Amino acid sequence: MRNSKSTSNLRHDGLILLGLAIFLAILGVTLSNQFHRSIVVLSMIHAIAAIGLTLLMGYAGQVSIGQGAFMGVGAYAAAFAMQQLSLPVPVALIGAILLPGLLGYVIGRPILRLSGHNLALGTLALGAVFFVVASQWRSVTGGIDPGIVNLPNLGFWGQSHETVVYWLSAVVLLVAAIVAAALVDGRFGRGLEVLRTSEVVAACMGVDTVRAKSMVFAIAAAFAGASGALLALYLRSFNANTFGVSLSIELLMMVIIGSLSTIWGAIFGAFAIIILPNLLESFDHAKLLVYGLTMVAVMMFAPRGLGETLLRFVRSRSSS
Amino acid sequence: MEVFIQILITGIVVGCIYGMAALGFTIVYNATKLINFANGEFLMLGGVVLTGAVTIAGLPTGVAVPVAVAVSAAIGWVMQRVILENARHSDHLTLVMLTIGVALALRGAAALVFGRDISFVPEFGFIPLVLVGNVYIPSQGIWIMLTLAVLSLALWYLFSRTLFGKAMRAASQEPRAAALCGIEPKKAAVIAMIMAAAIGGLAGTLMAPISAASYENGIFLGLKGFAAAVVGGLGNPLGAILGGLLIGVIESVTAGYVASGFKDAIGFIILILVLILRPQGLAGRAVISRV
Repeated sequence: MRNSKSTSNLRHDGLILLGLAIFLAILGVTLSNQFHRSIVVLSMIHAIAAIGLTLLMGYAGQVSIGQGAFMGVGAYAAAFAMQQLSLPVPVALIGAILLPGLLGYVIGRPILRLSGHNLALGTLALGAVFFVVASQWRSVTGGIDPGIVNLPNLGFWGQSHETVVYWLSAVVLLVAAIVAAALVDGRFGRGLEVLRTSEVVAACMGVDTVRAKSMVFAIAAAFAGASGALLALYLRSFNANTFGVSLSIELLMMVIIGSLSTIWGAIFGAFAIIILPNLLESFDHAKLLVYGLTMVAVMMFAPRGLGETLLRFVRSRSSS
Repeated sequence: MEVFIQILITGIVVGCIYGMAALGFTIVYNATKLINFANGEFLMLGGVVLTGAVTIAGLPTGVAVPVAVAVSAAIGWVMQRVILENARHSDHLTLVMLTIGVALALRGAAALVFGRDISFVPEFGFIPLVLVGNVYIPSQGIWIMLTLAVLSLALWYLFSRTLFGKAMRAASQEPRAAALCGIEPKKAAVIAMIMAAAIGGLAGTLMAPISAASYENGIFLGLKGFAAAVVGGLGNPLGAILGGLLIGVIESVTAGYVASGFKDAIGFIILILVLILRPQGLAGRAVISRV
């Protein structure tokens, strides 16, 4: 099991966090190639949503196939706040975190009373509803064409839009990681871990299982919202297609490529899933097939996540 | 009034397809308590394989339909034997993810093999269209309704009148007791998956002439089949068919009287509402689970 040696992982997490911060800072200062920079920005943005999904899948044992929709809600909320309510960027960002979180709680609470596959079902339906609404509700979303266009350029003091979004995303990613690590390390996280193993045991130990599950679902939705808002800020124009089912699937892939038991796997997974298609040309053609086969293989042979299983394998080899 | 009846008929025809998709879920769920996220892909496969067989291989429809159904059934068999059977002791999350993975792989494979274009096949023909007053019942629609009627009767006979059907039901109700009576739950699971895949494939071929076949169809069809199965009470075959018809009609009425753009959303909104308010289905009785 995780945490076999000590009850707290905070020190360990703190070190990784520090390493990550330094790594992102060095990349931010040194990367000059526009294309490489955009890949890192996109990876960071997706990693935020993937961390939320890891909390939900890895710790609470629930699948969501609708995280893309929550990213979309965040993106549209941010765009609406900035364009139609003329609110400043930080306020829009906070709104884009709160709204999906609230929505997640309202939807999750009743659905999570039931156990098992119902959340996967409900979230898949939610994703589909979101797509239809986003492509039809033209007064807010602009439909498919033109969608949301002309979000403000965030550059100031001679810094380009790209640079500002880079640092903003890095900060939000680090904050998200800190929040997730703190949540997981505390009473709440331990409750979730028991819950994943057995809901009955968790309930017997005094964990309010429904509340815990809906809270983590809401938190995952809020993380997705933040990620979606940043993506909107970065792209400056987007439409409903950006947040379709394929985005939800990619987020799932990020989690299982990384790890289902630590939030750090999500960051690794996000970088892997964003970078690989850009390295392999003509990958787009076989993308779905490769994703599908990978998902089946990982779930059959490494159900705690690919990265994590490989890491454990290497560790057990070197220690024996 | 005529317009309303016409809309109703359209809804019933589409609803029959949803009902067949829902039957597949129900049969697999009853045998293994697994929600098969790849079920919609069986419908997609039926459609694209039929189109491929007719347009590329030049087979007549009468041959191409059984081919498409057989391909779909064979894939269901492989999926159960190679993947799900080996992972049957995994936790729930893993099993759900496995079926999602299979769904993705099938979608990707279909896109690679048959291309990403949507394509049409000619109607099955033979049955003439029926004109009652000013209301049309299209030929393909009659094919679909007849197929569902025959299929329901056959399944009813199979599950309630034959020893085989009783064995399947026993395996679903109490796997351990059934195993003690010499019914192998593994075998029941394989048979259930093959049946679901074949029914899905058949539904896919039936709808290919009226709505274009594309590798992307599986998601929405699967979800609507789900919605139908849940609305009818998960695990209840009759409920699945009625749920399908209900969702088809509601969708069609929405498209006709409210806004056609929101047609697809309405079925999913019903699904979410039913999951939240009446998880046992509209007609089902609440299940009290003891631990």
